[in-house]
Amino acid sequence: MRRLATFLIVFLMTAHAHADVDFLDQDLTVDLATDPSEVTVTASVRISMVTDTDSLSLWQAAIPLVSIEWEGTPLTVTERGWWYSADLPSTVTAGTEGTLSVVMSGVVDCPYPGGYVTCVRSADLTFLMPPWEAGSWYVMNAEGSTFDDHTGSIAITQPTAHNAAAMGITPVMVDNGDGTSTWTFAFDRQVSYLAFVAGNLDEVTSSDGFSIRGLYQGDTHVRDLMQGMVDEAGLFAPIFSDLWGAPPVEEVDYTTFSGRTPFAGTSIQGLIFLADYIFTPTYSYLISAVSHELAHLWWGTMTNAASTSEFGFFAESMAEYSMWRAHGIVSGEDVRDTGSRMNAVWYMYGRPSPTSDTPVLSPLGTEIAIFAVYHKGSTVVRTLEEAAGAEGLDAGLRAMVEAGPDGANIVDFVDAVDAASGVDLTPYVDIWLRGRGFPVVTVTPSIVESTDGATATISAAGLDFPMQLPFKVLMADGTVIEDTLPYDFGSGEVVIDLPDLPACVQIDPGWTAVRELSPSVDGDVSFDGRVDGADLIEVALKYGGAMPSERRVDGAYDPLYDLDGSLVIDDGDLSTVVAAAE
Amino acid sequence: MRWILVPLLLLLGACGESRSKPTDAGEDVIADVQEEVVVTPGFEADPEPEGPGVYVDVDVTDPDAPVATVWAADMGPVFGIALHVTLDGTHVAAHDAAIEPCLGSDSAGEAEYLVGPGASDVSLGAVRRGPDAGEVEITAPVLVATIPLTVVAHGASRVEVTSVQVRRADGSFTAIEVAGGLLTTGGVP
Repeated sequence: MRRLATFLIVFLMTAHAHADVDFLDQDLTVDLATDPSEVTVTASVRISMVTDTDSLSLWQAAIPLVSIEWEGTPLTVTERGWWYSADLPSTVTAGTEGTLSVVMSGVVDCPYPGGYVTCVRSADLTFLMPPWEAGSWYVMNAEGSTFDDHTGSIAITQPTAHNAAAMGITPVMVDNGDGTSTWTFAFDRQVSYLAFVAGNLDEVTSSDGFSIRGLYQGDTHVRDLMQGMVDEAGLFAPIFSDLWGAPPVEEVDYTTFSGRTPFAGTSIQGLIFLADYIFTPTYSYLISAVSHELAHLWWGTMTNAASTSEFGFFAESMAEYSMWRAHGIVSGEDVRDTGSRMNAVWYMYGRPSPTSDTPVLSPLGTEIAIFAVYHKGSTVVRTLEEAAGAEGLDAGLRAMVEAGPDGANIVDFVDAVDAASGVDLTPYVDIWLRGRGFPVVTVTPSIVESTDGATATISAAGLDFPMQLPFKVLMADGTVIEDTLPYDFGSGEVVIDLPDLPACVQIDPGWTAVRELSPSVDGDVSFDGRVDGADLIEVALKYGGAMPSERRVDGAYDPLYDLDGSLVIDDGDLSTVVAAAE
Repeated sequence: MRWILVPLLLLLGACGESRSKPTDAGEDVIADVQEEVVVTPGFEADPEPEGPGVYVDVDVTDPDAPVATVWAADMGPVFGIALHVTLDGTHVAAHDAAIEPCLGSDSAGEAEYLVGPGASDVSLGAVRRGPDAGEVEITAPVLVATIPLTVVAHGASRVEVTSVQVRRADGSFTAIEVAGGLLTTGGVP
């Protein structure tokens, strides 16, 4: 199973200690024109000493280190595993600023656990990502409890026909007149994760909305898929901007990348790497999830949580939630509902075992955390949306984005939602995010016909997971009546007057919560209190749904209609309804 | 409604007259009584729907064993049909209802059918086996089900079609009119 994840996961595991020095600015030149198999990087790093300092701690270089100088004086280097120390000529006092000059040249080597690669250098394609395990292609401060943000620039010299993209920055290109061009990406925002792609890449651009470039290597099939992705991103980015704030980038760049890469998609600032295998038929289902990476521009880049247990929620849960919310706005709620169902179902039934579980607020890095954080977590955000209302939730989320990197946390989020909506989400956080599992809710309908219509009483009972379950009453003339079933402390009830007997009652058809519904009368999936042809139709409409064996595959599986528990909605379930009606 | 009252009045009138007239009144009286007490079994159907609809007919050829049939017409593309036929249990009861393969063959895996027999409430369902199986066009009247009835008592009672829903493969509903009717049962229960 390939995972669509972000680069941020491993970073937090490697940060350590406090900073003695502060990187202010880093100007990089990257030579991709001289040797098609090697890279030469020169770095000029402006540094301010925070304390009296006699050595620098730097991430291990991904490219062989040629020279390192402090204010023109060569430094002695000592290898220390994933980092190295560079002894300064003498103690530099706090408050002093100086320039560190570094030259790296040769074959790049960016190891990643499991033998994956996070950088590639060839004549046609070069991509260099931030370091995961060891090996940084630029100079990276290895001190500090957080990564050292700074401004700077990346100037890439390469064959003139080639293309390049870096971190959502619109490049300035200069033709050097010798068959090479230099693409300069200047960043005046504070960042610590630097990445670029360059090479013989074709380009498509978004048709509408936000400026998105899609760089790719491949045939027209790849081009068409990339065009679809950038068009979607062009529409989604303004939605995220309106909801939670404008991004700090001028454009977003999608690019294909190849080789044994660890993730299907990786978002670094405004640069999104997409593994080439997702363009193949076998993995084409991942295409629909690409905007998850776009959402990381807000959830992971513009803000994230300093706490490792909350980091995943504010990065992965939120990115997944955001993607499906935008799908709903652009393509209709049915599309959004599909994503919610798929995520909820994968968490509920896709885990290795029913007892294998972890809270949503758990550190990333384990297989079970994928289920809880990505799949349960994103659906829980939708549960919170139902509880506080979209405006209330968005106020809380905007507050988190405004808090910036390392600024997001659950307590402030709950406070911000409460201030905006008057709804205290604390019980939701305690049970849904800090707890494990999901509720199985037994729904008992009672529908009484009257002279002027009918009165439906819908009761629910199960484990104590607070939620506001939307429901729809479908009338046979096509009329739809919508309401909400409040569910708290393990029970809930709603009474609603209807103009006639209902054709069907659909409880939480949009999957706003991770829950399993169980009708009090076996087979009564239409929740009208009896088993009849209405139930047969409901099951038949879901016919063919099957629990997927792969993450992110939509099997259109809804367990409510899987009456025989076969994980497939098929003839057996139709027969179960028929038998129950006899 | 007019039709309902006529046989009832005839019946009441006959009873009254048979008690008030002398027994030696001869053949005329007997003939008069026979004409009034013989209740003709029948089924007076409500006007058939002009558009998409479900209606009921009842064959009373055998007055002791009327047979109700349920029909569908002018529905256009149909994925599934669900309905109930409700009876006045004090007059008639249903048994052995049989649904017809109106949406395709069950044995060939095209459709699935449901019959929930009850003495006074027969639930019927017909559905295609999944949206991929598509819909079946219903225009001309199609027999949906046959419901043999047992007479419980003399008299007239309504046969109704209730809780009808007709849906397409996308889950949408087709608005349906229904028509039941008045069933008059005769003979000895």
